Amino acid sequence: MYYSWDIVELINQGNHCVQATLTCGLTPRVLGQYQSEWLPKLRAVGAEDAHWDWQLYWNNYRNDSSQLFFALECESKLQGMQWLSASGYASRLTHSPKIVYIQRLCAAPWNRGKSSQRLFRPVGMVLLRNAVLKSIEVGFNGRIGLHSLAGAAHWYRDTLRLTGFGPDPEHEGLEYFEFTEEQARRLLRLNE
Amino acid sequence: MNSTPKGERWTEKASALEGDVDLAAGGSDRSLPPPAPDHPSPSWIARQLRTMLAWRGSSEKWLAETLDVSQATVSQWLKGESVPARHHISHLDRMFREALTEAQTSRFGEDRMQFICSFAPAYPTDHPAKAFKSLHGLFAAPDSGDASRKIAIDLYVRTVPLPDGVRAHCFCDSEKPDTCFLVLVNETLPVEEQYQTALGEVFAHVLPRLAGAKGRTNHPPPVF
Repeated sequence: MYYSWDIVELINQGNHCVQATLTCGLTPRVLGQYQSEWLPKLRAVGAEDAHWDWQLYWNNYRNDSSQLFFALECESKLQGMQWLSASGYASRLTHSPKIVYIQRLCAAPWNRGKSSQRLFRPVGMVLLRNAVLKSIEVGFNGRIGLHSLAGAAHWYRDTLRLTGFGPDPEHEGLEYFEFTEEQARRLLRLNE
Repeated sequence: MNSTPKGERWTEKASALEGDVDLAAGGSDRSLPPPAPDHPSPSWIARQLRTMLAWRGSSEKWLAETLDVSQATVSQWLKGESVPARHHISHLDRMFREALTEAQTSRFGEDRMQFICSFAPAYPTDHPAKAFKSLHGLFAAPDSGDASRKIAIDLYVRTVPLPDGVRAHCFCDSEKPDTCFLVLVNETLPVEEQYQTALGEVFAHVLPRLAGAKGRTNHPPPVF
């Protein structure tokens, strides 16, 4: 199995920037941490994503080169996970371009809730940016699509001003959003 | 780390933008793509092939010539009407991984590179400009395909408890030449020694390849 990684930046509770690694591929250690440290906490609070089975996803798709799995780790702990599909999805906005579809994206239980209480932040944004970068790398110019879980839909719509397509009956009524090329560029250039 | 003023970094702005929202995303489990089968079906292979050709920007003709088969045969593979022979699948698997790596490393475009430093006896004022000229030459020149001029490895380093006296354990993948290294470094070593040990371990394995490459027989080991 091949693993590659990038260095990214997160902010800790002391408001200091710290380095984190974003690994492409889920190692047994990462999956073990998910199972032993994330799942009990997610189930305890009835999180929307508590039923996601990352071990199953990894087992089923690890040999498919167009399915990309990422683990965000900082201080030897799993801080976020992401699964992207880099083929098989087309934009609903325009009639031809392909997109990278975010199959799954989530932060560790201790990186949720009030931002001041999160151990590291902004895990979600770092993973979103990663999806945009992968979309650029495979030639899709930053276009990505995602189904938002209920708690974040208003944020994608109002804060990030993504193009929304409303509830999707094929995805349990979850709202579908897309980043256009321009919206993707804006996300990458927040600091300009 | 760059020297962007506090509050102006991408991470800080992104953190402010994210606020208290949990950015979870994911569709229904019932709408997942078909999993990669243990025994790939013709349609699954066809999809993989189409993806690879798209990522490489290559044609059916190119694939046919590379694998020394007819274009009609490739066309049948792409339509899912037949499957490649086992030895072709092995070749295709390697090509697919190369195409993915190529796509993933395309971020190392010339315009995204920052000059850091040089190993040189002197540093005239035009040194950075000359460095960029060399870089431009690399990006402008067509890929020679000369493997002896490339050293591409994935290095994965982890610090772990190891027995006293053991500095590191080094692992590599089963590819020939090996390109993926995992080094377990003794966590008791000082940080700078951890890096030195990891790089030294890998270089010890890569050195024989360099020594065998034309014009590099006296390549000295690096000084960390």
